[in-house]
Amino acid sequence: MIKHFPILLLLSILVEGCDYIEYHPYDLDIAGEENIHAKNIPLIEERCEGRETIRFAMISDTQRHYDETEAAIASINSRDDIDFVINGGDVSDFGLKREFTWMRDIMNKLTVPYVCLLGNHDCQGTGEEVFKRVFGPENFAFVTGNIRFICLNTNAMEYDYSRPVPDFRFIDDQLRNTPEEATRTIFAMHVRPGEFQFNNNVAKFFEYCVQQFPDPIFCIFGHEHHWIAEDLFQDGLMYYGCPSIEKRNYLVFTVTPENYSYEMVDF
Amino acid sequence: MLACTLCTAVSASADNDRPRHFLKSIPTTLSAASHPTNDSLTPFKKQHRPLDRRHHRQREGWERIIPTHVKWQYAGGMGYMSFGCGWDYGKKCRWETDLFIGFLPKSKSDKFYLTSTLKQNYIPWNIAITDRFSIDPFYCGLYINTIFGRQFWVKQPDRFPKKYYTFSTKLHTYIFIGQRFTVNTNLRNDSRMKGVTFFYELSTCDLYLLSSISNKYLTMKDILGFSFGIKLQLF
Repeated sequence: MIKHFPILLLLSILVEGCDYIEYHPYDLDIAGEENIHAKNIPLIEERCEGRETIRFAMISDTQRHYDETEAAIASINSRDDIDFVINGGDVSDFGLKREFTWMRDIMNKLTVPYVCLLGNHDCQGTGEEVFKRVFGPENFAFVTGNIRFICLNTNAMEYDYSRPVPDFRFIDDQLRNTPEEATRTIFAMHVRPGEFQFNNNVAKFFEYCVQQFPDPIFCIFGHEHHWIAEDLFQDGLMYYGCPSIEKRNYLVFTVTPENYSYEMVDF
Repeated sequence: MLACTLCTAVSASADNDRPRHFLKSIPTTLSAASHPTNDSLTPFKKQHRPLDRRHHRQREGWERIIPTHVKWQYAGGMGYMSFGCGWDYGKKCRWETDLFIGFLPKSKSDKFYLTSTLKQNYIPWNIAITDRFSIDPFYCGLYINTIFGRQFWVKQPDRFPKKYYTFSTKLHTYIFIGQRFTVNTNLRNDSRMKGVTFFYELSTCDLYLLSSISNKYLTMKDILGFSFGIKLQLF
């Protein structure tokens, strides 16, 4: 036993060390759970099925703010009236693989299901690919009760306009295939129209498309790190910007059959 | 046979001032009776020998650009595998500089990438266990890794306003600590390869450190990376 001690020590270092193997900060050798949205979206839809009033929380720009996000999650978990949580994007700061898995592990502590939007910081390096594998596609939609959520990648500048962002084919597809029960719509995106990252050549057309959906209630976004409530196109459709998690507050939206309300919660 | 072995050890110690990888032994034809110095050496005489027997081989002129060793390293944020060569220098070969070319296969990423790494090692101590084996109980250093790919940049693309992204996705600086174990393969001075060194390292990069500074949530386990490799000493 003692004779073999150095060999055993070396072997244990190797075995233990294998958990820490990293080929590159931007590799796609992802440890742990993937396809979070594929699991969470059915959970959200199930929770809200047949409901007339839904209440969801929004946090945003959690980039490099793990302590604050953990505190926010604890705060959301301490109340029992939230149906689901939306992370408004910029999950990571540098697009590194580990940033996504760190944030995934924190968000997984939520007692309610959640989804994440793709932010411009998430597009750095191979970040977008990591996002897609850990969470899911950049554009997605789901129905809560009678409200349809359309979640979009709007970080056009990241692709130097070489990719259709926002993807009107996806938007058109959602419009054509609106489920019967979805009589109202909420749009969620990381970057609002008019901001530098957005493809502002199509900003008005984007708004036109949004207005084609059944009863658009409001739009939510992140990116700008502070609270914004603005009727961007003066057409009555409100855009609400969620503050960065660094500010230690999150938004809670309550949508009733006739109306909606929101509150900013400090934690 | 016993005498021969003893002579080997003593003679090797007498060559202490010679280069480390030339721990020269005696001619194979040696016998106890024929060896002129054998009389003065009794099997019981204790000879002082330094623990750290490394010795840098002085080379002149253009010869200096010939690498002294080649290395293979697995993981460590510099690619799936990296192959490199390097130079040891300084008193007792305490410094090593390596240049690596590595790769990230499609199976570990979205496509095949080439990487390159410049690595600086500082190996303060070497302890000889026997003539054949020695260990480096602690060594440390840093390396700068670059990855080749269109989406990685050193400085943000021109389309962004000033200081929009202040970090680099292409260059990553790592610091590391590690340990090494060396087998001297050149005891009889007839081997092309002077030694084989096995090493492992724990490393972390600038962006991980930056993240962990402001977050109690991140522990050492989150930011550390493990890698290992082999060094073949040629000169």
